[in-house]
Amino acid sequence: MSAVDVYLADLRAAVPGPSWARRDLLREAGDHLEDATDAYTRAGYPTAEAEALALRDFGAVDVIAPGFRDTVAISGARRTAALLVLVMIPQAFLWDGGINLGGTAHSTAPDTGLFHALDVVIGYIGTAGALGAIIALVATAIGQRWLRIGRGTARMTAAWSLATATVVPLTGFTMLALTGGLTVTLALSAIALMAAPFALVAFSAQRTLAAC
Amino acid sequence: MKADALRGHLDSLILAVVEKQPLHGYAIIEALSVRSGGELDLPTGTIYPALRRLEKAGYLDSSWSEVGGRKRRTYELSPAGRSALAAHRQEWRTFSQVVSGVLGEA
Repeated sequence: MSAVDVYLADLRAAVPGPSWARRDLLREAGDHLEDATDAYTRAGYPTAEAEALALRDFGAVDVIAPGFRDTVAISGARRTAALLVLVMIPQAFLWDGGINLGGTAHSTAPDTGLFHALDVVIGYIGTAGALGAIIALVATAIGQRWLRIGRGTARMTAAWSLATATVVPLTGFTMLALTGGLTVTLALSAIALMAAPFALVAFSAQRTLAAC
Repeated sequence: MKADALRGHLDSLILAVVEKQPLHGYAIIEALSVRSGGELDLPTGTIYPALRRLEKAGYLDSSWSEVGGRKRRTYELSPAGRSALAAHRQEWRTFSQVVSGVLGEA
């Protein structure tokens, strides 16, 4: 292994997170080191010395890694927020209005305090979760024109998304179960259209947290 | 000039060097070095998070293209980046006139 290969392996190890977010960044680092080594070689330096000079210019791993970690964490947070927005938007349409998959269950909805409380919880958490995700999506993209966004924001976005992606489907399933009108078709629909998409958001959020 | 002195200005410097033509990462560093007369002293690896941030902010567009027979990610100024660069230039002119007026020799 060349010194550049060792350096890139160390940098990869120092920058955890989703592989899709790290791939291009680490490839660019490798391309840069290749170009810099070539430039020193053309200037007359032996290969080993040219690599050492290219690495010296690039910066030690502990100096460079924090910036790379910020970039990867922010990319993960942006994707998680986008996923949450995409998953949240159709939920009300699927379950309450429009397609109204929960229609049969609504007709048998119990008139209990617990059910009404859960109805309020899912409404507020769903709205807050979607609004938070939209704000995070803007902040981690065009918002970087005005805001210094780092791992703290990425961590907050991921935690917010994970909480929403856990509470909303759990509350939804509990409400469906409480109605007594939970059929096999309805349960399968809830798994495919609610549990699975939110599980995807939760998975993305956990990978983002690992990058923070 | 150390990285600390550049804090807050690196983004504008990057936008300025890709103003005329698309460049890849290494060429951006070279252009910064040439245009600063070799005075910029920052680890070259710090440029990549800055490039990614500027791209996501909508100031740069990027694409993979062939450079000298190798695939390289090249960056070019977007319309929003051009406006931001013009604004930074104006701010810098005002700032440097004010500071020169105070610090300049009598």
